[in-house]
Amino acid sequence: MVSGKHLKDAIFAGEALLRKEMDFINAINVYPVADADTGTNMYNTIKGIADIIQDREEERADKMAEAIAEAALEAARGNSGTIISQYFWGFSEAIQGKHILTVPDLADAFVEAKEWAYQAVSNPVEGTMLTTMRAAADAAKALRDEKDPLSFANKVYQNALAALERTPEMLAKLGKPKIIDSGAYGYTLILEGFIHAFGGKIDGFRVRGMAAEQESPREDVGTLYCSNFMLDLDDGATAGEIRRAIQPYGDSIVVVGGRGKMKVHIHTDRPDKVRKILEGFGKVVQERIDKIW
Amino acid sequence: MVSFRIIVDSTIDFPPDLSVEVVPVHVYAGAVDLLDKRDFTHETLRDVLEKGVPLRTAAPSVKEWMRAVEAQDADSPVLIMTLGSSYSSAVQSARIAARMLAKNGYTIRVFDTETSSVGAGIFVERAVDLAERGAPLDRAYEELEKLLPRARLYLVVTDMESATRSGRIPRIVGKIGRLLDLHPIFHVVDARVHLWRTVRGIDAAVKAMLDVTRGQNNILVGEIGESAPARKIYAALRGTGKNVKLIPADPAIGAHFGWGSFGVAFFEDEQSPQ
Repeated sequence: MVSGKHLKDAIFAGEALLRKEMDFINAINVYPVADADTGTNMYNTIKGIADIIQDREEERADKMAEAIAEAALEAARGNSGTIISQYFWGFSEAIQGKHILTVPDLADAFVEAKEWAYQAVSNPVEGTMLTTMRAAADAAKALRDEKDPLSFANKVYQNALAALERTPEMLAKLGKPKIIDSGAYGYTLILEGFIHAFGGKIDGFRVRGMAAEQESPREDVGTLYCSNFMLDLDDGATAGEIRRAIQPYGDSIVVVGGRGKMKVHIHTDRPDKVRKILEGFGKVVQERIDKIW
Repeated sequence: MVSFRIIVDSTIDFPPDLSVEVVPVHVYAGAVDLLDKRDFTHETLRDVLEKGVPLRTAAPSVKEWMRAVEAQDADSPVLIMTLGSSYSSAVQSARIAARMLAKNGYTIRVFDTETSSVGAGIFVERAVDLAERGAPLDRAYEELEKLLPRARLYLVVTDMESATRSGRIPRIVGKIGRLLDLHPIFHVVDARVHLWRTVRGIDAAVKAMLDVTRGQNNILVGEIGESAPARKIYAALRGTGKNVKLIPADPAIGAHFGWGSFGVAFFEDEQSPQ
């Protein structure tokens, strides 16, 4: 059964996950504007909620959900944060009067939360966090007969992940780059927070596939090259680490891959330097350097 | 006695003598959350731009709008005016606040100006005028809606770095622009920011601004920091006898467009003085 403490733990787990992934979410932020702030807004929203409720000791689930919803109204930042604030408000509305939550209560909460999230947006667009919220709600509705909250949350999460994987196609239809939606990914981390709070863990799964205009501290621009590398990775390197390493040397950085391979694209005036850095992460098995100007 | 209260977000630039309540947006200088106009001033803007600290803005939260409305009792209707919904969530959070406060007896309309800075400021000027003349809130709202297709805002970017960092200009365009002293001029129309023209050199930008204002009246000129080109435009327009005001643009706008950027706003084909 799920108590107020579990809900509080879910927020803190979600905050930790968003803190870890904030830069990545910013980097893949292309919708509605590629202003690289969805990760910051989502993190600041959840952190703001966590700060407000941190001293609140409440076993009753409905009271804790209410505290979270109130805090979210205060802490919400940006479009994504505002949608999340309404999501928590809907969640809280659905469980009024419930001291302890059963799986059917949780299912009702996820469904109502999704409804409120959609109402928060005057023109709901699919391919965004709303899509993953809907997928979670649909799964929750279908899983009302589950007995164990952890198993329930895991399956809800997996359904949201499946929807997340479809967001690149949906965003492409909106004329955006074909990458996962930043807010949708952020929402799956909030769901993951529930799994942690219920005593579970997601084993090593992180969605990685990224594209974003990156900031560059470089001001001097000589000859600029469109540089593409294919990399056979040594163990453990992530797209985020590679991106951070080459970021000072250019922009329009794209790092995509998985299962030991990574494709790297960068506009740089130092392709030789970038290559050297990449060799620190594994073997460069292919490269193509084209002059831009 | 006005017929309704007006509450706006702090990125809207309007003449300072107007009776309008302002809710600050949040400006993140790196990880530090600053309240626009209170903690984040023009001095702060200049300082963080010089240091290259990344800047981001975030609209007021639902609760912040609610607090502003609830500062007075529910007797007076309220018009909330926000930065355009295409590039800010201010309208979204304000509408949720309005919906929640309706239960407490508040009458609130939320007007999406579909533009920003002095472009939104011309709507605020008009709203104040309507409130002072005793127009009921719904009628004023309709009047403002009718003006949407006629609103014009032209913004000249002088600092390419801020505009590229905020995603308004592709980074590669920003680099080329810096190399060639190019200044993009944005035109906000139909709720979207369009690149209207790119000119070489600041004098060409001033000339372009004077060209677009030819035949127009009741013009707001906005400047981020002390902008010599903006003052040149202001002086030239005043010299032709137009009703024109020079407005210091909000520092949070400067987070997106950079120090020294400037713009002009007016309702197209408005000949008679207000």
